[in-house]
Amino acid sequence: MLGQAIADGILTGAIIALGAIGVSFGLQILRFANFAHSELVTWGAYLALVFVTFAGPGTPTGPLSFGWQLIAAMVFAGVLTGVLAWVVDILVFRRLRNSDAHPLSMVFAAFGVALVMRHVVVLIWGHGSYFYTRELQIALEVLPGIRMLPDQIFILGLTFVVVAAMHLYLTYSRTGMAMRAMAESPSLARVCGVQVESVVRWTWFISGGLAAMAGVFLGLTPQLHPEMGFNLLLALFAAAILGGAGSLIGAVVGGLLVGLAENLSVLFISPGYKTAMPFLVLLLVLFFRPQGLFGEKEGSR
Amino acid sequence: MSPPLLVARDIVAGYVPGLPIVKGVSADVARGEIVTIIGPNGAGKSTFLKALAGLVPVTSGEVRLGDAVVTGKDTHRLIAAGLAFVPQTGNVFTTLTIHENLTVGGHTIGPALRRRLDAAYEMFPALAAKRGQKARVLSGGQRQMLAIARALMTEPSVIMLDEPTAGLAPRVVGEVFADLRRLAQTDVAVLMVEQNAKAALRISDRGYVLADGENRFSGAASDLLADPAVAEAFLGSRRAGVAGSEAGRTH
Repeated sequence: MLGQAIADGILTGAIIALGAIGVSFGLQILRFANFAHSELVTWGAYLALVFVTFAGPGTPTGPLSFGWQLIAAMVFAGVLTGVLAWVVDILVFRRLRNSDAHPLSMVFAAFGVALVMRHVVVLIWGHGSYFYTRELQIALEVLPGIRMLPDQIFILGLTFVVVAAMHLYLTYSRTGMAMRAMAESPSLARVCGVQVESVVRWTWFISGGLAAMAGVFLGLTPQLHPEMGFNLLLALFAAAILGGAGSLIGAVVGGLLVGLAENLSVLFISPGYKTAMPFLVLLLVLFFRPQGLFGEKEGSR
Repeated sequence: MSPPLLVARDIVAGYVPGLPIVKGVSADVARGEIVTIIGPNGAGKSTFLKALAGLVPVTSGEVRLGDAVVTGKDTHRLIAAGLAFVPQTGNVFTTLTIHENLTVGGHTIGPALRRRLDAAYEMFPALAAKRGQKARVLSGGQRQMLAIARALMTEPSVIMLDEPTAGLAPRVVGEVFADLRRLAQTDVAVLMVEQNAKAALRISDRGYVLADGENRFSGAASDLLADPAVAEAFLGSRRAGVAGSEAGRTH
């Protein structure tokens, strides 16, 4: 029971982590709480559905329920969602940023954007649920007493690879370094010759791409519906804040902790309280470390 | 003296439209020259430098860099055109390593990056020893050195510094001023704002005194130091017997 809950928690956590990275970037690099980020998750899932509708989910490869087409769909959705995030920035957030809008105005604008994005999904695809594939899978016993679907193992593996790649990107690439510089001080980054708008564009693109990946994974386990991203929203913020805004590793660890808190709580209390668990963890962590687990203390300079 | 490299004419600038902080300030600086702007708190000195660096909107007036008019240009374009700016506070990235602090604007530097890094570490050996560490481990003086080294990475023709000695120990103040003197000898134009007015003017060629967002006095640094009107109002009363390095802070 415990082992299974941990395995489920890590799986949920991996998906939350992918979304939380974008929320964390938003908080630290773009400097506002982007409550529309969850809708990028939904859009990513539905854009992949468009691809799958035309190309099909593919014949199952090995034990997986899908073929290469779904991987292609994920890349397709990742790129388009990245572009979508950037377009929304141009239409809404950049205007506010350039007129020095109050951070709260940005947050309310984000709420508005989220509503519009969510309801456009309903408008196009309706309220019903969709599946990428209806193939049945048999869970494998990965460890004694712990069963996982092959698709879930695939999700964990791919998430790990993508997070590792992101870490290398942030650490060694020029844009990654500029993103970290922007996270600490946008005005100093500007003075160093960093092209702020270009960094903002990359930040949106990467956030959108990772959100789409989370969306496809959510859709695989097991279905798509218009509220799929929205239902994850608070968990994304809990994970980003828990880890310490602006830290990639923090967002990932935060995501895993939130996932574990949700799934482990079911062992002790009614599942009705499951979604409240991340916030209990969040409150406890912030009580002892207000800057989050991996966050840099403000005013340390 | 060569013709001025950076020329600002009648600059009006401020954060809020209709409420200028800088109300028509003119200043210029030539290659190899150190020019210091002094004046009481709230005179608009910092805002003036920020306006020249493209960080505060300029509502009227003209900024020329070399032969080009650069008024209102984006900061990264000004940097590429040979301007460098060292802000007063938060002028290094504490969460980045020293090496990263120096290379973060690397795309404006291009292939010369390696050579300039070596030059920076040669100029500031204290930084070379800690290149892989986060900048938060540095002392105040070392941070100032890193900030100056970072600004020099683009091999600017003009460097502007906002109170480079604020908060530094007296011994370190001398080191920073000596560094700026050496820099000017390499034909860089140095324009700084200083509260440490007397000490700064002593190593400067010329100076400007601002008050209420306007030019009040200007001239050779030695003349400003000797001018009783400037000394009375802006360098601190001599009769009060304030120590030289602290004189500018009495206002």
